[in-house]
Amino acid sequence: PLRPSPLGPRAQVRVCADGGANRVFDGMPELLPGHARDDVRSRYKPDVIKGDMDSVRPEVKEYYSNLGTKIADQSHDQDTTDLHKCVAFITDNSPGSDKSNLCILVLGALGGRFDHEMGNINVLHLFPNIKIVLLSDDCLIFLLPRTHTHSIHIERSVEGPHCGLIPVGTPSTSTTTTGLRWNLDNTHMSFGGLISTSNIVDEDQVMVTSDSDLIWTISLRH
Amino acid sequence: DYLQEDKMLWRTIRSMEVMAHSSSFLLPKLHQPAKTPANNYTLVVLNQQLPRFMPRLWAQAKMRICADGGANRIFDEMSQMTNDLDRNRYIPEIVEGDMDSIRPEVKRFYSSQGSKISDKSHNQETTDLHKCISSIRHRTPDHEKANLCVLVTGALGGRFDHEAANINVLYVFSDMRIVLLSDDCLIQLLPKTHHHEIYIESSVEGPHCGIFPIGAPSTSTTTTGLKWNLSDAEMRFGSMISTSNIVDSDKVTVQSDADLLWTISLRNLT
Repeated sequence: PLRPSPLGPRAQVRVCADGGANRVFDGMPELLPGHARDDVRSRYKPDVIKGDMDSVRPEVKEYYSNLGTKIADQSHDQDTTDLHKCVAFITDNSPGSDKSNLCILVLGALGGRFDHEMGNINVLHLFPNIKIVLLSDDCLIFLLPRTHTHSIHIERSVEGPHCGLIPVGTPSTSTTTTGLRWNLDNTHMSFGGLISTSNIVDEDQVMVTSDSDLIWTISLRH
Repeated sequence: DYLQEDKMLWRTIRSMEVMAHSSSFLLPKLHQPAKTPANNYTLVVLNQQLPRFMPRLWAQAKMRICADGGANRIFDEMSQMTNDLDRNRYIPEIVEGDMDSIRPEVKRFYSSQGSKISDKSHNQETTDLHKCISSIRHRTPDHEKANLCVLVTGALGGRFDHEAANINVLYVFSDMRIVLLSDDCLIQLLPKTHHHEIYIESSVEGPHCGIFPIGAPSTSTTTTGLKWNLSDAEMRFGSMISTSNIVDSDKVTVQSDADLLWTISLRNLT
């Protein structure tokens, strides 16, 4: 995305999925043009490069490897997407069995080839107990599993007001919300019928209860 | 009685109508095959950067509709693509929508050049794409509906809720042929009511493809012509969906008990 990421210094583990390493290698110096390229690259160094390694440039892989980045080559496993491999890796390697504090922030999962985007959205559904947030310049999305009532805190300085709730996998016979301009009240949602898009967050807290897994999306400010 | 079951299944396949699909609209105009499933193209331009092959779509379409800010895109970007500074060559027949994104000077220009300005700002219930598709459907006589194919640019990417709403338009108007196009791929609905034959134009599309049960799971989908075919397979978000598949033939067939979204990658077209 277009801004130098404030996520950098805060994230505890940074993983590049295959060609994501090319993006960090090329893109971070471009976002911070006043600084020496090698300084930027060592400051924004991934901890791991993981995936099937068919996109990462050899010189990029070597550069980060020399800086201490772990190269986790999974080119033998063609059945899962790069994102799936990364999420599985992160959950396998995070301390303790309690994943409730774990939050995985993902860049580059939206846009581009639609089958990739769908595969990435499917990863959210495959790991419903892990908070995985897909981010783009324009918006973020994450899954609201049907097993819980959700309380979404809105950070108004960086996100909103446009939002939506989307039943990607199965229709919802009943969804109820508070905090939106057009709240749902035991409302039926389905593709081919009503889905909640171009909604507006009206309060700092949005509550959602549903009988179906929903994708929550909110726009990001500049 | 297995024999009886087989006979019944065969009868169902035979009685289900075949719907043929082809991306021949992406071919240069000179190379159009003699027979195409649809030969009446309408183009709808939404408000995102134009795909590189927009001039091809513009030439193919009998009718061009700019949805609100899509008019800004044609005004600003078309001449760069065609190296043709004459904006008069790219005048949409209709500019339609709630008019909250189109720049006043752009609206004035197209109005003065003969575009019909269809102001739907009173209707805030539906998206610009929904309004455009609804109008197209309303305007198309019944006997021409089977030949109609609506090509849409700018529906994918950007804000996710917009993308979802645009995909929902395919489901809401499931009896129409609507193709959403981006630089990277196209998507279209394969309604469960038909047996689908997708003719692959390998000079412009492929090999990456996928099939998705958006909105509702599929308990049974069968395909031919893919590298990893499905055989009476279940597909569901949270379980298996067909991504990063590869077209392995000139013709892909799909039959399913659920509405599916088909996607195929586009080659580098200009």
